[in-house]
Amino acid sequence: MGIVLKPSASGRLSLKSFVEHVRQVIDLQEPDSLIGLASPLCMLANDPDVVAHHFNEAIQRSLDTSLPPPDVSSSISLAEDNHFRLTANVWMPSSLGEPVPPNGIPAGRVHNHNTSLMTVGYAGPGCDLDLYAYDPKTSQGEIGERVDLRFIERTRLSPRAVVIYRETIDAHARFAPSSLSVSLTFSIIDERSQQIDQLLFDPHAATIAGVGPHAAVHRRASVVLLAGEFGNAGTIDLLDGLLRRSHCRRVREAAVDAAMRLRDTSIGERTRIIERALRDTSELVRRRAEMAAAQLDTIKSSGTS
Amino acid sequence: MIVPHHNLQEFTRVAEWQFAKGEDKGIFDMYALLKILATDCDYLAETTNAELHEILRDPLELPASWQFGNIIAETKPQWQLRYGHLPPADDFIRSNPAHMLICVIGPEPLVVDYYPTSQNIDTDVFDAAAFLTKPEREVFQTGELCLIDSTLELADIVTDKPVNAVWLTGPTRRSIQWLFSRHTLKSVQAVASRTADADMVSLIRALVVLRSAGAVPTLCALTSHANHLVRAEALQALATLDPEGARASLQRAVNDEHPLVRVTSEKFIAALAA
Repeated sequence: MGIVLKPSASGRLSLKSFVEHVRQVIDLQEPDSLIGLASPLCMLANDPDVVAHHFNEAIQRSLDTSLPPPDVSSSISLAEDNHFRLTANVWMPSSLGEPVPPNGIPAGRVHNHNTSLMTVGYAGPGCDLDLYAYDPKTSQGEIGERVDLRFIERTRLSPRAVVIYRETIDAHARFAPSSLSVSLTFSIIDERSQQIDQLLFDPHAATIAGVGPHAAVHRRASVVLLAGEFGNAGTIDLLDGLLRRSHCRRVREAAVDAAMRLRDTSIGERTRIIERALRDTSELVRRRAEMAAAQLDTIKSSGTS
Repeated sequence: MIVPHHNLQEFTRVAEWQFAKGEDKGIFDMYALLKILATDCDYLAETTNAELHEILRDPLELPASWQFGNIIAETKPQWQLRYGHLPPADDFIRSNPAHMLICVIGPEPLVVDYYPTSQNIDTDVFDAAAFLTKPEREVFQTGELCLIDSTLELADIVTDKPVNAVWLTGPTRRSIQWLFSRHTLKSVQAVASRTADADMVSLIRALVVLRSAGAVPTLCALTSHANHLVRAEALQALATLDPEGARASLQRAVNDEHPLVRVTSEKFIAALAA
């Protein structure tokens, strides 16, 4: 479940001082250290001008005709380096046909994160949040799989309220606020997050309902899957290479799926992929290989390839 | 980053020349070249293999072109080419703010419902009275091309199953996208065609909530933005944050080309006078 904090910090911290504090005091390798950052983040949120200044700058940059203008977004970076990112996010009240938010996950969908992050309410009434606890040890991450997902509480990200989401285990659904709201989000950037799932859940059935479309691991696996649709005779060896060499189980899982979809591929070549995948270190990949083997048996018995 | 396939380079060269002419329906002259690129050469297979090589070479690489379910093959100011799964439909039937050419790769066919409209919706002036009538369904098989002409009927891509395709999208022709209810076929709302414009509106509203007096010069500049939703929002924001300073901008906007902007300015001029 997310950790909800209401720091009593009443002072103000400039953005520069906040960033210095992060760099000098906080160990970003240790997600629990985010708790120590709650008060400084709250003090930054006490600065009434910091967000407006950056929003204004972002709009001005988009109007600059001397350069190819960057598109504005409703999520504006306030500070970032190789280890963290601080953004200000605008949340609009519910409206018909609203654009999907920057993380690609519509309001109301329960999801977890592939990195640890902390968010604080800045302006407006704030979004309601349903907080859940997810135990990743009870599942492999397959879509449709039943999981241990427990509703904990509903809270609101009102100004100065802080919520910490730990990587993978804290899930939540965000709901549109009653009127425009702004929050600040501090995220840890970690190379590991490149290979960590972001899952969407069905809280009623307690199952995995999908994956986060913007998460690096799922975007990369999706490229591998597409190779199964568009590849040629040379593709099967590349898929085999990914099965042998990739450290990412989602990439290897996608390689098995792609091999089964690939046109003009012999049963022998598919069998080679499946046999390798059956020896994979990941249960997720082995399960996928078992399903592929069953599919191949059906093809063999029907005499088609 | 992979080296563009020679067929894509050729396609890009011709497309740049074609779109530079500025003809509204020039995209449809790319029909034959898109078909060659998608079905009559090894572009897709070789490019896909090159992407797999990239993952093998650098397991952490993540180019912006790798979207979930599709790959952006080329992006230029006037056009974009993608391949992969066509994006799924949502709760609304949406107007087409740009012309499109779609080549079906298969094996699943592409199903498109063409809805006649009660009135011309190829305009930036939304009318809540507009509605759609019974659609005509067309099915495109592997290797066939589907033309979406946004000046004609509304084309709604039916994606019950993932459809593999290569698609070329022309420049955004309209500031707004009309939304129709799937149940009643009545128009329900207009939204900005470009996400960046919708986000600009969000930022302007946020500046009002944050009572940012420092944003007034920027808001003044936005009153001549290309999108009328942005112009109207900027005027409202100015009238809230700096009522006296807003007078000149509001007065100018009385002659704006878009009725929404004119109505907004007249409303706030009246409010200030009161």
